[in-house]
Amino acid sequence: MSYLKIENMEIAFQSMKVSFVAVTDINLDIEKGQIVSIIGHSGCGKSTIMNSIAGMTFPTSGRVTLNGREVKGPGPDRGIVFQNYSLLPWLTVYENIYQAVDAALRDLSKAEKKETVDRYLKMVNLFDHREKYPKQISGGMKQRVAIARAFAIDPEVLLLDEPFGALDALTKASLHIELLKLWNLTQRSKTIVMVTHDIEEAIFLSNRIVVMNNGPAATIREIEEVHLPRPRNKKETVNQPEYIAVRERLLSLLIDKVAIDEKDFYKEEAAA
Amino acid sequence: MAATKKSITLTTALTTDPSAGRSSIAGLAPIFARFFEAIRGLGYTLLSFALLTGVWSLMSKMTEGGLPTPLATFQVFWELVKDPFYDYGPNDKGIGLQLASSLGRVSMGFTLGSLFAIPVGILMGANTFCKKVFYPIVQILKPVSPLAWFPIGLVAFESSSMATIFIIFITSLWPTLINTAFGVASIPDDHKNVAKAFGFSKWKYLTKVLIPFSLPHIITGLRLSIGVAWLVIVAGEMLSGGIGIGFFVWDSWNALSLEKVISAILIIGIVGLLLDRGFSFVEKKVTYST
Amino acid sequence: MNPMKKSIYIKSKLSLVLGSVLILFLLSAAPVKENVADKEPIRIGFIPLTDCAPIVMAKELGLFEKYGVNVIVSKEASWANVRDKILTGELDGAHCLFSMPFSVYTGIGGKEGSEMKVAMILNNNGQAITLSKDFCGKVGFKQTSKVASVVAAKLKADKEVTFAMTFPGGTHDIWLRNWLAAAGVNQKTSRIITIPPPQMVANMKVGNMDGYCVGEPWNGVAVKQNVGFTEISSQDIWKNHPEKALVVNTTFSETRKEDLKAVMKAVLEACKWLDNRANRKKAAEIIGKVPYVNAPADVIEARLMGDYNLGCDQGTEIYTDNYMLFHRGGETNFPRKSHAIWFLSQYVRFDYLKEAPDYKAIADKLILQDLYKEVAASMKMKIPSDDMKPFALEIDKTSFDPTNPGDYLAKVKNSKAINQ
Repeated sequence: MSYLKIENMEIAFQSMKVSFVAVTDINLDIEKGQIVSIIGHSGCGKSTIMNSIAGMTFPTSGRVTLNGREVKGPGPDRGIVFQNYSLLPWLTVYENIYQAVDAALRDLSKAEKKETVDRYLKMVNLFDHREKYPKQISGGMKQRVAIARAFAIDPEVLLLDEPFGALDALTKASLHIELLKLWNLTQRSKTIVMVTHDIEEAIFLSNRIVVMNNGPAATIREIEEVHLPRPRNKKETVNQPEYIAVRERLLSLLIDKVAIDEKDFYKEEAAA
Repeated sequence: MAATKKSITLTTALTTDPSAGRSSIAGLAPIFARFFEAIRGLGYTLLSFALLTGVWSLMSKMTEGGLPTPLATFQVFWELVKDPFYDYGPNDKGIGLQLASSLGRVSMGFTLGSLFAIPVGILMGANTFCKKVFYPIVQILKPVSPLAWFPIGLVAFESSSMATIFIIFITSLWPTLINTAFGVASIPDDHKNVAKAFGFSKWKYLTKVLIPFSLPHIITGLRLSIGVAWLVIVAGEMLSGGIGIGFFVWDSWNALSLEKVISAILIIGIVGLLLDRGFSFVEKKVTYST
Repeated sequence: MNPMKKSIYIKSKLSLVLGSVLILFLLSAAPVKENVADKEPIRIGFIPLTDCAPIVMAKELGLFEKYGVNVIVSKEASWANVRDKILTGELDGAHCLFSMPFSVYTGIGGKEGSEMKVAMILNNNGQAITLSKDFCGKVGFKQTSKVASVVAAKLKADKEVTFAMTFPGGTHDIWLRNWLAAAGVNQKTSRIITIPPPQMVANMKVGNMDGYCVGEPWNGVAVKQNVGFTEISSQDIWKNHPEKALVVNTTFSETRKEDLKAVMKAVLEACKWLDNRANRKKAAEIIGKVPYVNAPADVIEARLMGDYNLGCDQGTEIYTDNYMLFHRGGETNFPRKSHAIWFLSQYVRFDYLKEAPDYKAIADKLILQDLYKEVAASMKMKIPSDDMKPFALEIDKTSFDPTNPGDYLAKVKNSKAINQ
């Protein structure tokens, strides 16, 4: 029995007289505690699917169920990390997480909420920066705050929409480790669904990778299983045959041109 | 500003001195730099005043004394400000007391206007229905001159002092209302999504997202509104009489004392500038960068 | 700065601002009701004109205190302002155009049916018509017969001719119209506009105004500034005409009758004091000051003495018994119903009113003649007996019988010198 289930989902957007179908015929079963990536070209509806799980967008037909209950809207059982961090610029790092905790975990006492915030800040190593404002911290730090915020509300599912897209490769690599660390620290009980463009990222982090066709009316092309053992290691995991195989498969699915064509080679006229 | 650039080169010139006494000169350099910058700034201001006074003197000559000379005006101005708080009865008070009276009316009208404009602005920005219903009213009432409201205020309140406060209220609320509505309407989806995603209550959304985001816009609106209010009070007092800087202008005109009128204009301008600066200061404090 | 401290800093600054705003708010509310010894003060308004002297001098000479009332004298912005404040009760009384209550009551100068009451007359004479110096040399002092051709010439040259007065249906309006009628000028082709005195002088200075009718000192000022000249004074139109009155709020006159009487006594005594020529220099000095008329004392004094420098090299006209007078042994201050009826008839004559109003009823309603008689009697002052008797103006000599205004109207419509 799957934990997070998308059944026959189609999502279409109405504008004026035109109906634009974003995604169609989406069927997806995700087990609890899995990390699943959705990858594809721009416009293939990855974020739309994410939003439907988040409850920010509603399916035109079909449905999304979490733990047996249909998703009808956003809720504290799903934590979201947005692409643009979406930290509130007038709140400190501490306050940004606190307000989320305060809103989502209403039954806790003030002291308990404070303790939660402090705990997650420490988990992402930002406790010393908790009084700073978003404009005073780097992009990587902002994203760590966003991740901490999403984790702090103790959701069932974490939804990450291209969370590292705006970061440089080095920061990105360290944040992969941060994410996995948090996931481990919560006993790998949280289900993570992540949208990404980055093949390496998808393979490194995920149990399964959902490859999308191009939009509009995008469908799922293929679902790749990633049987790499955990904990994964940036140095070693990338050399494993499973890793290479999956990468090969994804490249061929996603990338049209993997090298320059022979006829594109510069040729000297008559000289040679 | 050009002065800053030049003072920076001055600073670098001083600090690149390789001699042994470098540390002491380097220590003094920023002080010198700021000093020169201040002098330069002062110089520009003095130059612009000299220009203004020159043109003014010329115009005074051209109108054969119809427009009083800067010197005569300044003498009158000095008389007015050197004893600003004397009180010889209801018709003869120092300029400071008159200003205070006008400012009192302005603050009352402005405060009432703001108390009305901010909530309505928030409603209009946040709720499409409210916007559609209120917007035509705003468009029709906004361009109405404050002086046209005066008779209406008089009929409604049966009192010219209340009518004066009313016209300040009704004309100064528009910039605040429109800017507030604009601010609230332009809350980025990102922030709204955060509130939605984490289940912010309506109150939390209002206090932690909507108002902090809109606050710079609201303060801008207030700053514009106080400018309007200050403008209107002068005109309003000409209609209603009593104690105030506007009535002072009217009375001085009645007595054909242009020196006093011009002095009053200067004072009005300075107060308006200070009010504007005050609000700009607050604006800067509440602006966050994203 | 530590962000926590920063938010506290912002909050404290904002509360400082809010606090100051609140204080200013309270400041504005404070002066409305002034601190009173025992009784509530009586507010009497005035407009900066020489004939505000009775009110101002009653204050300055301590006469209000002498008669046991606490009076605050306040300068007002315009006649409309005075009207509004008397009607709302913000002013208990004012130095006011004698005919304003009738103009307002009949709907010309205010909301029809609004009642302002005339308690007593403050002065006779002392108003004038000033013409722009463009007419200098073309028409001289009191040369009324020459006026029409000069005006017609101007009209032809500039396509319009503009005269100003102070309030529709007010005294100056009616003096102006009577003068134009006597001169044979078609009032329908002239622009007659209402504007405040300084605009009159300023406009004439730049050549925008052809003539105006207003009270002193503005006619004297125009001559002094070489902006215009005096064409005719109001006493030449109607010798010893009623000019300004003490007009009062209806409720005040009914509920604080004793206070009103005290005010009237003080003002009457001031009027008597002013008619003594020896006092006029002092009066000119006092009323010329900034809180009052705010005009040069020498100009005020000259005309108060009857010395009219006419301007435009016309020399000086000396009035011996009909310059501005405030008492005339009691003749001035008695408010006559016949005068009210005369003004009402003028409104019909000049098409302000389409139908004849109920002359006597309005005069009865708005003139507090019985009250005046009580006050005058208690001060042992003469009470004239010539009310409701016929009289005629100097300028057109047409007899006016207050018991039959229609007759007079028929006569003026038939005479040559009327508006077409």
